[in-house]
Amino acid sequence: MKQILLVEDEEVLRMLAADLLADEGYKVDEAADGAEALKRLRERDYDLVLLDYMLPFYSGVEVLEHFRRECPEKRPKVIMLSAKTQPADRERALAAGADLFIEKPYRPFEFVKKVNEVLHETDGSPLSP
Amino acid sequence: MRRMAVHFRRSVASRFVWLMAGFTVLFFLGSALLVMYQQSLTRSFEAVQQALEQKEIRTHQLDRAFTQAFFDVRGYFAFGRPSFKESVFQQQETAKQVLREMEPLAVHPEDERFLRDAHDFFIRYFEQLVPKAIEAFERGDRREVALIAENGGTAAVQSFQKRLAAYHDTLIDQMKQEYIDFKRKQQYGQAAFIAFIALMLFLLQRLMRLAARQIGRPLQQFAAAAEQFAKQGATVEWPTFDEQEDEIGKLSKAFMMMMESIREKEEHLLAQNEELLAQQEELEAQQAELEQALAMAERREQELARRNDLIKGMAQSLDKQEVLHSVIRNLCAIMKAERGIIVVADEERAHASFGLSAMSVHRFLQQLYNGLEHRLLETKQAFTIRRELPGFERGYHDEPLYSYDLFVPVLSPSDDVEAVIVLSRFGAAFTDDEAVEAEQLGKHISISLQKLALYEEAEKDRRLTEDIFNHLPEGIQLVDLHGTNKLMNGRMKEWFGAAADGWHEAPYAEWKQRLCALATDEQALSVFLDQAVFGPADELSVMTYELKENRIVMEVYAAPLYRGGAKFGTIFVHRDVTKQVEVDRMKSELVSTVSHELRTPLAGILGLAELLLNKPLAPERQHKYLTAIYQEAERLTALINDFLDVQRMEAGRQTYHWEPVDLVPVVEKVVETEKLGTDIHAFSVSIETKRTVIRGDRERLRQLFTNLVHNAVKYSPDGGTVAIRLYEHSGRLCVDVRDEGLGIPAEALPHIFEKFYRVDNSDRRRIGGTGLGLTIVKEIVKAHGGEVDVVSEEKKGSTFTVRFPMASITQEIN
Repeated sequence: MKQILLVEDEEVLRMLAADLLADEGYKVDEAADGAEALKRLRERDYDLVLLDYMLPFYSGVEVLEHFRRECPEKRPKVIMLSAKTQPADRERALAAGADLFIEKPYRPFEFVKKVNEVLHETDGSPLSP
Repeated sequence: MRRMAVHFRRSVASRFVWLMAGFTVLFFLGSALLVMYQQSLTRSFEAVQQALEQKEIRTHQLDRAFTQAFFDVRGYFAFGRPSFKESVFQQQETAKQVLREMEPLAVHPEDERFLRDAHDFFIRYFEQLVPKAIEAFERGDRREVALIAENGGTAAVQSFQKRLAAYHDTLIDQMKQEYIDFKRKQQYGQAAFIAFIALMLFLLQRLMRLAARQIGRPLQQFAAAAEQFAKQGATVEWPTFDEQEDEIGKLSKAFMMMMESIREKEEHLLAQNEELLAQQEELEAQQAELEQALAMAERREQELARRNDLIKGMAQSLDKQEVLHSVIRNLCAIMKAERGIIVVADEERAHASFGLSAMSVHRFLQQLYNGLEHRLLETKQAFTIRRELPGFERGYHDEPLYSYDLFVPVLSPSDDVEAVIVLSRFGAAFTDDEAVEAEQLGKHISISLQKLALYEEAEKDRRLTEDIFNHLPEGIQLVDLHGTNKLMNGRMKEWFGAAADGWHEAPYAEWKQRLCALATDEQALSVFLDQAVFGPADELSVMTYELKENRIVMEVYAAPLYRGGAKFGTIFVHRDVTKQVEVDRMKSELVSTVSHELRTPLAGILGLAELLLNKPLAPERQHKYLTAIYQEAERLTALINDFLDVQRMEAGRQTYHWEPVDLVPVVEKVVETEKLGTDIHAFSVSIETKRTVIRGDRERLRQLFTNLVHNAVKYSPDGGTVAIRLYEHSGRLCVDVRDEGLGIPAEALPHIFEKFYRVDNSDRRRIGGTGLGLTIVKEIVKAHGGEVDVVSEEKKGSTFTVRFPMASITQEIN
């Protein structure tokens, strides 16, 4: 069973995403901010991290960069969720190792489809453990 | 010889040279002869003396020889020793020898006689007596011997001895006689030498007398004549030696010629002198004339210099007061007045005086145009009056003194009286000429005054323009085609500070470099300026740049300047757009924040709704989703309401219904409502003043306290007391809303009244909110003329205090 960490500060959106992913049969951990996210990332190896761009304290990119520095051996797939998609933000996120951007607000089924695709890619990926 | 004679005749000098030469030769010749005579005398004396000496010596020898022989013979006879006999023969030889030597010496008959006698004696003695005696002795016939002696032997000897002595005496006498002769001759010689010298001296004296006669006399005469000539001049009898051919003759001729020449010259000089005297008189007359002219010129020059000072004084300054002072000072000097005043005939009555006290000036101004000055306005001509000086002006003089006052109008070209000048002089009246001169000077002054008026007007305009130019909110800079800075206003200097010093006429490269150094993006600004100054000149270009030092954002636009269709420069207008940029930034940030705030609940609503529509879900899950949708929709509504409120309030479009509002019921009602939403909070309301009415909008005040009390509840998630307190402080009605909640971090305190500001803290993030509540509080308080602030400690709670002015309350109530 794939392990997914969902980092989202908006309660309703977190609930929606978590329900959607659980329905798909993934095991979902939730985090409301960067500190919580990092704590969970240290504790467990996830197959996928869904990271909201706009987080309190640290932005999603900062969390990602920090995580990459701290645990370079962990290689989960990363999808950034963002309403703000400035090109500079995208570049920074991609440089930090994000695999995909999903723009908010998203359609639930398309969201699920994209998550599935990313996780499916992992199987054949040479980078996967 | 003849030539010689001619030569002698022509030259006194050679004549005397030859005479002196002849005299010298004669002198030496005579001297030589005398010396030679003396010498021969000495020589002959010496020769005779020597001969006598020789004779004397021989005689002596002969005497000794005979005497010796006598003694030896006797010795022999006495002692019989043969040595005596030998010696006798020896003496015989010696005597014989001497006699032989004496023969050549015999010169006198006396000598010859003696020689003969000596010779006879010799023979008799040595050849007859001695041999006989010796023979007798040797025979022993002593008697014979004695007989021989007695028979003449001894007598012969004695006689000869006497003869010898006599001869010797004769020789001595001869020597003496010779010496006396010599001495006498020598004395004759000396006498002759003295006589010769005397003769020579006599000759020399004759020669001198001749010379004196031939040279000295004419010279003496010349000297006397010359002296006379020097004393008496032309009428001198000149000694005539001119027939002589020698130097005297020549000298005489030369003197005569010289005298003639001097005489001529003297006459000439006399003539000239007379002429010169005449000329001198003429010159003296001319000089007197010239001196008169010079004095006049000097007076004129001084006058001109003073006029010049007057005009210069007027031209030197553009300050009216200064010019007036200069005018009156110089005018008094020109007109030789002790006192003076000039008053401009306008409303300001600008004036300047010379030699007057402030009080006098004041009095004069007060009476201006009431008295005599009025006459000036009518006649427009200068006039003089005489007045007696009052006591205090007379000083120590007892007799009456007079002051002459000259009133001069300063007329403009249109013949208006522009100013009035009054000059006072003590003792001497002003002449008509002086009055005319003063009027003329008045014209100069008028021109100067008009120039001043024009200048003042122009200066006023210029200042106005300059003020406008310098106080424009834009910095304006004008450069020519080469980019040289030509003009720059004060705003530029204000902005660019020291970097803008010395920009006037600064070449392009210099000011560009200094300006660009101030900007964060030097390169871009440099390129823009290059383009504006040297690029195609047909459009207006704009750029913004930021100043490094203070992050001020500047906008500069450049526009080409045209005159007669040709570009002659570029104008740069710099504008501080920091605020505008900031507003733009805030606007775009706000839009971005608002859109995010709106999108977030919408995203939830959309997602949940789509799920509900497209997926069969369990009823409880449907209910959960619908509740969430409802909450999000509510949140969205509140957000929109709050946002619109803020917008309206900030834009000043919020309408307030002002009325006296008692805060107590408002606060109580809010607390009632909030109580319904929680069961973990306690509420307390304490009213500590009786004056609780303010002038306000009831609905907005309710909104204000709702936000504050709602926040207090919301941010104390673990419950606690929410305490509200009304009290008076410093003439204000204050309301505290205190909670025991999370508190606000110190770094967040300054920002909590900003729009959409949320304290980023995970605990709070779960607490919903629009981020506009406190902004609304602030706006409402502001509209009520009050203020709001907050004291907070994290984890202990916060206290918000709202203060309303009370003065308005009492007014409203009364």
